[in-house]
Amino acid sequence: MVLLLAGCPVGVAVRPDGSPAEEPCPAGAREAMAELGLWPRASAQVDLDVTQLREGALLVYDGPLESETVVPMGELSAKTHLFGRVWTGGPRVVIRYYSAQLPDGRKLPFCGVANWNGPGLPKAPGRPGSAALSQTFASVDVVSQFR
Amino acid sequence: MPRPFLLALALLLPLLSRAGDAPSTSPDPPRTFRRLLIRPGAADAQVQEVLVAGGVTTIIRTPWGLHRRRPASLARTRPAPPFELLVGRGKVVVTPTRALVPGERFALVLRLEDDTVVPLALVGAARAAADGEVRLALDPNDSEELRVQLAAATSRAQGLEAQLRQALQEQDSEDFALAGLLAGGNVHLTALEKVRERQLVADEHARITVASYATASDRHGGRKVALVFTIANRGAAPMQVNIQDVSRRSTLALVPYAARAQPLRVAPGASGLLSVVLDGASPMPDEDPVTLELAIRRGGAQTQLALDVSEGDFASWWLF
Repeated sequence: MVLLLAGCPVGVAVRPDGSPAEEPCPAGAREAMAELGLWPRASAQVDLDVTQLREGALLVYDGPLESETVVPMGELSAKTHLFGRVWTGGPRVVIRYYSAQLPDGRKLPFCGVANWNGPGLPKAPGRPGSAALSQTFASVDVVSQFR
Repeated sequence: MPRPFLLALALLLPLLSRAGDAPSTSPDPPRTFRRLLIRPGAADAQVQEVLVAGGVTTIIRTPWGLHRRRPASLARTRPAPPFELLVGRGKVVVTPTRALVPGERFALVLRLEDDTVVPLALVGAARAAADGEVRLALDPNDSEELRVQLAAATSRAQGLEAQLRQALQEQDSEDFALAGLLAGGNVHLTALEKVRERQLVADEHARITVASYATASDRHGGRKVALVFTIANRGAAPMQVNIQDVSRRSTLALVPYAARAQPLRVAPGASGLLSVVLDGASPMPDEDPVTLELAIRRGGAQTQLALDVSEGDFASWWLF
């Protein structure tokens, strides 16, 4: 429900390799992030799944995902929840974030992607619709457009 | 294929003293001191400390000759104490064979030729604070010794003044300003680009990762490289990570750096950032990497982490 309210797309086109196609940032995301001093290249670590905060491997599924920032990013404080969507079909797992909820409860549109040593996250082969990640965290990087 | 990113070697070392609270400061060539240790004859006299540091030779001069058969002995420990001892007539030369964490202690017993036993403690110190020469005196009323003591105290005060001046200069330096931005989570306000990321520690108590950054070009006044450590404290005790030393692995020569931590002490359940800025224009070949020594303190326990970095860690193979 939160994802729908925040403008999380449910019908992004998928490329032949299984990764999502380009899409613009959510409406108002750039302005909202600029107010928090966030520009493209801003980066912070996130725990990928707020329901699985222990260390080790992580299984993710195509669909919505709620993550949490570990450290501040600009004026965005630690423990901000990021709401995004997972695509596991491509060569690497793609996670795009469309909205954020600050610890004080404020919600704002957001435009960022999860990365680890390159665009996306390295994955181990899994069942269709899911992928195993070797770690429960990643970097989230602010972008001006989902590519 | 990218070369291996960072070689991390964790060494667990029990430590007997605290790590510094302040952010690390950029080191200069070591300044060493002449000092006088006076050991009164009382049996319960306090054991005198000699401050030693990796790569710095310390000379301990005794008031008269040393015992012929057992002039100096280090307490036997496993692993063996990391010192090279050379004994001469009326002096012992001590050289640590590895970097020491400040506060690390080792017992050294000297025996003089008249069988007087002098217990000393070799205590790890910052290179700039290490003793270059220590004169051991047994008579506190000796006027010549008091004169030397006064001169030594003056020298130390001058050294501390120079260190304070250097610290104040560093506060205003560009590298420290850059380190401050990185430790504040504002890398996007700098000209640095992320190059690589790596997990260093991950257990039920803590997670430490490091990301390396480099400037994409030289147009911003010289190439800078940086490392940003993300420290997540999952344990029940406060956690603190400090840079102890940055040096060449082969020669132990110090490498200038600027470091900032935010916060200095990470509370249980919280996280922090520690940034280190280095001069990327200096060659860092793979065969002679730069070693960062970090002290990680969790509650009352402290561990040491040594991290080798070389040019390959800052060569951009992807930027986004």
